[in-house]
Amino acid sequence: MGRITNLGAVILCGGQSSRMGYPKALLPFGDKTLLTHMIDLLAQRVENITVVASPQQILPPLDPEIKVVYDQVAFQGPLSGMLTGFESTDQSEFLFVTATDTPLLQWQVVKHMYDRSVENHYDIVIPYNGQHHYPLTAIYHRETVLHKIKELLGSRRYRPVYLMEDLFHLKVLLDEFRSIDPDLASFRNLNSRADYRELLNTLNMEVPKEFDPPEIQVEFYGVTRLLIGSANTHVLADDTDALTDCLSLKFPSLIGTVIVDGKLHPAFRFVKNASEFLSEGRVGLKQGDSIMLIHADAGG
Amino acid sequence: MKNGYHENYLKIDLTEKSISQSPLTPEVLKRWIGGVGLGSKILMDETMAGFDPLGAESAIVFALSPLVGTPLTTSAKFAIVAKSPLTNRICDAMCSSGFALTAKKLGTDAICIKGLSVQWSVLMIETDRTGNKKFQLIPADEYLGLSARQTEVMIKNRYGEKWQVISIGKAGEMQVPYATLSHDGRHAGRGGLGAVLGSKRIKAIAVYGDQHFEIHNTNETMKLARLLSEKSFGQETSKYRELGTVGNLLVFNRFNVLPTRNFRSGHFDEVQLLAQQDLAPSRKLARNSCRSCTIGCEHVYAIGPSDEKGVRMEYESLFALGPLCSVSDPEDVLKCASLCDEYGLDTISTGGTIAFLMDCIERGLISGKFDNNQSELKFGDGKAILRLIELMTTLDDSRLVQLLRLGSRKAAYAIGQDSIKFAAQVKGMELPGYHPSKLHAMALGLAVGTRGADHNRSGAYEFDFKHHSNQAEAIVEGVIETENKSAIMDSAILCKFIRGVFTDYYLEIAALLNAVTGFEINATELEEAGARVVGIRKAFNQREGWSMLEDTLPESLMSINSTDSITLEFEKSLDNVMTVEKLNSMIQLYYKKRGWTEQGLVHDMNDNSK
Repeated sequence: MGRITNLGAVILCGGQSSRMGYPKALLPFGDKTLLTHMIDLLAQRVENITVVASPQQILPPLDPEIKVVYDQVAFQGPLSGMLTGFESTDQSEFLFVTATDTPLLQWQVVKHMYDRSVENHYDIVIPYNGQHHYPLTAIYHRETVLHKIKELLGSRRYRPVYLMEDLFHLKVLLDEFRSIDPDLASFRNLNSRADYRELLNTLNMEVPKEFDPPEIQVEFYGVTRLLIGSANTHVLADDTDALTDCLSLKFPSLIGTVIVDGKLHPAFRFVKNASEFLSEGRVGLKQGDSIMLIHADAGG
Repeated sequence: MKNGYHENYLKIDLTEKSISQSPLTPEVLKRWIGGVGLGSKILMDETMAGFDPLGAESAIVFALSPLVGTPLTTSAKFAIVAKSPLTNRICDAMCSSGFALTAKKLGTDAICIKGLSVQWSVLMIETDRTGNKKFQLIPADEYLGLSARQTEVMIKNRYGEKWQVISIGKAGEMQVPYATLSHDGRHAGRGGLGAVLGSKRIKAIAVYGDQHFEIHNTNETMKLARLLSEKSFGQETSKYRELGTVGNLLVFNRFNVLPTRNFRSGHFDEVQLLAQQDLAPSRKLARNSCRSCTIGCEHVYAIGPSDEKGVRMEYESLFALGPLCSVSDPEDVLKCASLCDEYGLDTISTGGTIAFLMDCIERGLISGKFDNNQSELKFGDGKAILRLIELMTTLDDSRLVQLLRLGSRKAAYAIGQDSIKFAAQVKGMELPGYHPSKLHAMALGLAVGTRGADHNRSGAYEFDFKHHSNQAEAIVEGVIETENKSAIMDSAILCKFIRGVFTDYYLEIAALLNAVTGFEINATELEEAGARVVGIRKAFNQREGWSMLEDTLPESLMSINSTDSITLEFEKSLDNVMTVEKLNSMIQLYYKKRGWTEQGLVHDMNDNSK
């Protein structure tokens, strides 16, 4: 399969990886890293590859052919990274934008989007699942979209979905890809250590020891202690979402009372290490952390 | 009027033996709502600056609310407002439940009692079918020395179950400055309101009436009442239902904010002995609720295997008579709480003063011997505490007993030797069970509280337990928010234990008030009303001689001198612990955001009392 001469690739790898708690670009993937794996997927297929990193970001050793550019300011979101990437390459008419965390990306998916883009001169071809778009697995017309990115950033509008406002775009429903990627694996990204472990297990790859889930002590107070009849327990969980899942499995009596629809009921609260009162959203955990499960209405 | 009110308040002058009725216009009622707000307004109007809280010129106001008597859950409550003999500042305390319902049937929104009865009496107030309100003073000799509970039972036995009675115990008769007023086993506990009634030689007040009030929109009120009741069965109130406030004990200990050994530490090594697992289920006798309440937070524990009566136990009683005095025997703590109930003593002030005296003894400032040298008070000795409380309401005049009767501030002045520095009080009121060194919002709330060290008029701990910020501005705003919200709950009136069910606090409470009163008050106006209620209490204190020197915390409470082998994660999480400078700077910001002067003075006294 030959290279597509007017298509380049931009790999954004400067994200915070906060849920992963480890730089995604450096995640071991067989004898490679996730970033080098992504580069290898696209090398020989596209005209050129540009890696966009955050300032001072540590990257794995890369082929000198790969262009590396750095954002001026860290963690400004994908549009900012795209701006840096789009500005640094003027060789290709079209750019495929991806992140480092979709290692099961299939080239035929990219090719399919590229073909759709060329045949009708779309500025953007973007996958869509009926609810959400996939701007980091999409094809963009470099010059047109670069202009729009500048306009959006100038008016402090940072969501990639705004790109489609007045550009000629095509939303490709995910089902359209099933003939070439039946499981839609190309769109499976890795956010948490659990995602990462699961992927490696699926591929029969060895999970590095340091990515074993940390052991967390959970202390129960008040109503939760009454419900389960125990003061504490230990679970393996990377973050509070995984912790909630573990508690549901281990203590079914919490379901429907303390844990509703897979989430902690607002009347209850996790407190990390007796000091950090956690609100909604996933919070990463590390070995030795202690989580108190208390009633949100403390005091009285 | 179809607005949930009777639009008047009763004035009873015990000296003149007169009763009169003063009108309350809808405008005044909308401004002050009821409960603590209305009670504070009436107290301000009915007293002159500088009056003696235990003198004939003092007034004690029993204030009802528009929601009392409606089907809204937790609304059967009333506020009692007077000048505190413990703090010489405003004091308002809440109580429930049957007394509130019947008092409203007198056809009034509040009762203001002034003057002095010639002899110990029961004040009986009733309204006949024509709406004529009258009162009698019945000699109370036979009730003197009895507990509030016994007095209540005897009055009802003699005059009929239709009477609802509020009474004082022996501590109130003796004018102990932290004596309670009690109804149906529940106490209006803080600040010595029982002493105020005792100073008027009134042992009890009994009420009966059959006057009804009309609700503005009955259908809407019923709809909202059903909704609120349904919500009240949810997880937001499960802590109170399943455990009661006692459930706080282990959590606070883990956070290292459980006041222990006269606030020397925030951690009690033997806490497990007092935790709910030890109090329940073997000791738990029953769970009760106030009338018109669907939560049922009262957990009654047996003192011993043969005890069938039991004692209600709350976190505040448990911490004050347990860890604060280093007592870990649950039976001792339950007995002490029961004795406080019997005599009508505020458990927080009782435990707080005893812990302070224990500290003085341990530092060698005073002798721990009492009871003709047969007993010795020291940290951890629950039996000695029990004996000391027993002697409080006798003629015993040993020094320790006398000091205990004073409360910690006056006791510190009597002991001298700089002991005031470790007396855990603000404005003379003993601190509740939240160690302020790590709870910065709570520290500010306690310091500026108009009632003194107080966890009910400023639930500032809520801010600490949710946000735990070091940012002064956020803390100050958090304190103001919790003060204003508390003022609305205490004026509307709804029990604070239901606060968790409201997602849009002011909007939802405004809807309840509007359905009953037809006021058409919006959320912003309601929030302003909360600030107004805080303002009038401050204005009252200002009139009575308040100065900004009173808004502070004892320096010894700013940090914990912890040599315990405990993990201090909570402390480590803070950049630094509370300091005098930090607190003062937050107090200044608090005054500014309240719109008061740099000296913390309300600009226009009249504006705050119209």
